[in-house]
Amino acid sequence: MFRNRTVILVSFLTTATGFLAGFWPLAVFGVLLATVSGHWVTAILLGFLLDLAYGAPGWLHYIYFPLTALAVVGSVLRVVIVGKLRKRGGDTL
Amino acid sequence: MRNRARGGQKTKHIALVFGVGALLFAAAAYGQGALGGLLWRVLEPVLAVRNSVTASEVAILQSELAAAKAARADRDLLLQENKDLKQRLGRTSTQARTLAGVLLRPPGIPYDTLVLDAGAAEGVGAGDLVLAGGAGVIGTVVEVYPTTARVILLSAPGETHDALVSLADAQVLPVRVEGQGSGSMRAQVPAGAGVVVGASVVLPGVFAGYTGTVTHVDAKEGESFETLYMQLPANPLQLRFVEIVKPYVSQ
Repeated sequence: MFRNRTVILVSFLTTATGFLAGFWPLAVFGVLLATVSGHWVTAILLGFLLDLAYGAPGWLHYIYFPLTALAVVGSVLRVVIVGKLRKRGGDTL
Repeated sequence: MRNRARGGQKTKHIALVFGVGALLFAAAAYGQGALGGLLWRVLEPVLAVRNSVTASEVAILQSELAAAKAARADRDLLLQENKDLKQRLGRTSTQARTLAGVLLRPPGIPYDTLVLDAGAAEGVGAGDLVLAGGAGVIGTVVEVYPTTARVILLSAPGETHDALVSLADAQVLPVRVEGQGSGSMRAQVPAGAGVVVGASVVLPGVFAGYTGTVTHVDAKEGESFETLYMQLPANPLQLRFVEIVKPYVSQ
C-alpha cells in the first residue's frame, strides 16, 4: 500500500513539476510512470488534466484527448504484456 | 481451471479499463470547453505567480530584445506601406488592442500554442489575431475561456495560411505557407522566382500584418520549385507579452 501511494505521489509530482516548470516531456513522463506502474486511474486522470490544459490542436483535435488516450492504450498494453509474462512463468512486474 | 479464472479476470480488467475510458471520453468531449475554462481559472493565478518568481533579469531582457527585433524587422516595410496607402486610398483603420501575458508557451506545452491570461472577460474572441512586438502577427485565437485564451501559432505543424512574399521592385509573390513547428514555416515557389533571404512575408489584405522573414532558400539544380524557409517575427519560446487585435475595421 505504501509503495502504491509512493508511486502515485511521485507520478503526480513529476507531472506537476513538468507543467509548472514549463517542460512538457517531464509532465508526460509522469503520466507514463503511472501507466507503466499499473495505476491506470492515476494515469488517465493526469492525462486528462494535461489534455484540458494543453488542448489538442491540429489533427489531434480528432482524438480530443491524446494524452488520455495514451494512458488508456498504455494501461491496456500493460495488462496484456503482464498477462503474457505470467503465462510464461516470468517474474511479476 | 486456474488459467481460465485468470483469463476471465484479465478480460474483466480490460473491459473495465475500456468502459471507464469510454465514459470519461464521452463526458469530457461533451464538456471540454467548460472543463478547460474551469481548469484554467485555477491554473492562471498559479502560473502568474510562477512567472513572476522565475522571471530573472536576463530572461526579461531577452524577451524585450526578441520583441524589439520583431518590431524593427517590419517597421520600415509597414511604415512605407502605411504612408502609401493613406495617401492613395484615404482610409484609416481602427483596431482595439488587448495586452496579454503569456501563461504557457513552448516547451512548456507540447504543441505550437500559447495560453494567454486574457479571455472573454477582456473582450477576446475566437479568430482574433495575436501580435508580438506590437506589429508581427504570430497566431490566431482558437479557444476562449472566461479569463484565458488559447492561441495557435502560424508556425504550428499542420497549420497553413496564404501570404505574400516581397520581391524586388515592390512586387509580391503569393504563397501557401505551412507550419513546421517552433516558429518555423515553409512554402514552395517556382524556381527562379527571385525570393532572397531576408524577404518579408505578410498576410494578404490592405491592413494585413507582417508574419515572418525568409531565412533560407533551398533551390536544387534541375528542380521546378524552390523551398522557402521562414521564421515568425518573434521567438515563441521567449514570448512574455503579446497583443490581441480584432480583425481589421476600416473607417
